[in-house]
Amino acid sequence: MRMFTGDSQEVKVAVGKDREVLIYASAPSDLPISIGEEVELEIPESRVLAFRA
Amino acid sequence: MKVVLKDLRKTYEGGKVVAVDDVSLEIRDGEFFSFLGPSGCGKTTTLRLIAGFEYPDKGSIFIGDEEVTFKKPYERNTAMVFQNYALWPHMTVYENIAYGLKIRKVREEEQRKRIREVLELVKLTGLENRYPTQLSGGQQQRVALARALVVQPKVLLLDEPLSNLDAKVRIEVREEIKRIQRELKITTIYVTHDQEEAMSISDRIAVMNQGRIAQIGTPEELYFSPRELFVASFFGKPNILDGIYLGEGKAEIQGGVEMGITPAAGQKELERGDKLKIVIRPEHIYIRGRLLQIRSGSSAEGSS
Repeated sequence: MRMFTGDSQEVKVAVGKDREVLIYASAPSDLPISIGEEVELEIPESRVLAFRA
Repeated sequence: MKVVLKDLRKTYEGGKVVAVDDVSLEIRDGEFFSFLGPSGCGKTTTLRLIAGFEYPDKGSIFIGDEEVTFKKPYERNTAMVFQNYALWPHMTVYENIAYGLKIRKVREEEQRKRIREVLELVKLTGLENRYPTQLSGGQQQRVALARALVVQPKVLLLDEPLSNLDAKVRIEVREEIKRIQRELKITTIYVTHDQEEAMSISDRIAVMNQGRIAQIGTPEELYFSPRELFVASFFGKPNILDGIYLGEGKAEIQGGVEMGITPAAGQKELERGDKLKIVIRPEHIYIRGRLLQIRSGSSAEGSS
C-alpha cells in the first residue's frame, strides 16, 4: 500500500555522493522532469523515522 | 461487549513451538479490531483461543465480565466466519442459516423472522432455496456471515474471511462486513495477513510477530508512528536505509547524505555513533522540482 493521490506519482531517485543509493519518492504528476535530471528533494524531518539497528 | 485477554500463552509440540506468547489486550465494546501479521505469527491461534476451539496453556479470556477461558465454544456467545465458508453443501441457504437456531431450539416462527431479517441484512433475499454450489464465492461468504449473525452473538469472529475471493469481490464483501458491523454495533474480531484490508476496515489493529503483539493502534498510529522496525516495514513498502547517528537529531545515511531524523517512539535515547535503520515512506519524499538549491538538514539532492 502506498498513499499516492491522483496528483502525485512514485518515482525512483538516485541519491548520495555517487548517486549510489536508490530510493522511491513522490513527484507531482504534472512535474516535467526527465530521467537523469537533477532534482530537489524535500523530506519532512518528522517523517524520517530512526530505529536503533 | 468487550473482550479481554490476559497473559495468554499457547504452545504446541510439548512447548517447543510458541504460537501465542504472553498476549494481553482489551477489545472495546462495539469495536472492529483486527489481528494482522504474516503467516505463522499467532493471529489465528489467538482467534481460536477466543472462540474456544483451543485452550491456552496459561492466561485468561474474558467476554464482558465473564471469564470464558475454558468454556466450550457454544457457551461463549460468539460466532465465527471461516475462510473456506464451511457451509453444509447438502443444505439450502435457508437451512444453513437456520441450523444454529434449530440446535438452540428457537421457535419456528422466530426462526423465520430472524432468517428473513438477516437475509435482508446481507442482501441475499430471494436466494433462500439455493444450495451453496449454486452460489458465487462472495454469496457463499455472505451466507456464512448470515449464519453467524442470526444467532445474535455478542462477539463476531472472522478468520481471513475474504482470502478465497477475487480482488473485486473481496472489496465488495469487505465493505459489506464493515457496513453490517456499524449497523449492528457488534464487537468484531478480524484476522488477516492483508495490511490494506486491515487498514481499511479496522478501528484498531494488533500487529503480531512471532506469537507476540508488536504494536496495537489505529491504522494512522501504526502507519505514522510505528514503534518497531517490523511494524514500519509491514505497512506499505518504505525506503529502509542504513545510517549512523551524528547527534543533535541528525544522521548520515548511505551515500554520505546527512539529514534530520525523528527517533521512533518508545526507544531509548539515541547516542552519537549508534547504528540506525532509517525508514522513509516514498510519499514523504517530495520532489519539489528541478534542482535550484540544496537545503541542508531535511533535504537531499538526487537524480531522477
